[in-house]
Amino acid sequence: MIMSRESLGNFELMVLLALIGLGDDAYGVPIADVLTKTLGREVAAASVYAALERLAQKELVTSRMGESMPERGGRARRYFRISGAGLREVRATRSALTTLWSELPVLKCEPA
Amino acid sequence: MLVTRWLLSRVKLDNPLAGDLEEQVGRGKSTVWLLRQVLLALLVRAGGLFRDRPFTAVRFMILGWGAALVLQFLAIVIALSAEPALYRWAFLPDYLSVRIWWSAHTYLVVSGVFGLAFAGWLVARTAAVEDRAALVLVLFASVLVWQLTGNFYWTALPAFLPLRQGASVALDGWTTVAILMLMPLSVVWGGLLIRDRTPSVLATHSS
Repeated sequence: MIMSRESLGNFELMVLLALIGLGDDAYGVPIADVLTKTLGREVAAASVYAALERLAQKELVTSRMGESMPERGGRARRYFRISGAGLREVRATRSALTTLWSELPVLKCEPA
Repeated sequence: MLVTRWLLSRVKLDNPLAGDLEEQVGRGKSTVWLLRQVLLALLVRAGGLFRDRPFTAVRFMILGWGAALVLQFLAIVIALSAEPALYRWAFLPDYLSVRIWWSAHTYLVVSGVFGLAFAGWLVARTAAVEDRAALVLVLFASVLVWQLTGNFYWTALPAFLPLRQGASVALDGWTTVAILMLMPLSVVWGGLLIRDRTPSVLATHSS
């Protein structure tokens, strides 16, 4: 599998994986929650949006605006979804990482 | 919730991000959490500005510093031109009794505070709405760094001196330092004076 020239950053990859896990209901709050639980430290909402913006520019995610909600001060949610190109990028990254991991002699012996 | 709404209306974050933060506060997150998130959002925005549009960011820094320095220069010119008249008024004919305590230092601090507030206001007034708070924050940070390094004698020297001497220098200087550290905050004060209903005059040119 061939990766694009502009490979994913660590955080961007985690955001994409969170998006896949959340499905169609992915917006800033649940994405940040998933990453916070996974990483064990608080993730700034702004960092999540900055990563999503970069991913959108690379056309790896798509977004749509929801309806404005009173509990959000009349602001709408922005829902994100991984694109076909994003899925291909995630698979390519996983493949590359798996290859690299499997070529490390020490880690081969460790239990899964 | 009022604090949240006021803060979010002032800093003008992206709408979905601001909505997320308000939603989280509604679910029980504290005001301190909100302040941290807003500050991080502004830092991320400022970082993006310097990375993606460095000329715009530098232009606004030059504008802010230029405005503050020009006003400070004018304040000094006014002080120097008023000096003889001030002395005639301040000192009684016997030259022993002083009518007022004229402190050039106090004058410069006061004029500096208003100059920096004007600089913050000017940057906020001319920047695009979504960049406004981030640029004011960067201007604030640059003034703060300038004050800390410019007043190194009072802020850091006591740590390098023997205890008694260091304590003496620190006690002498910390009132001055406290005032000087307040000056950067006047940038934020000036920046916050901008209201939403005021249209941004250069918004279309800065993006």
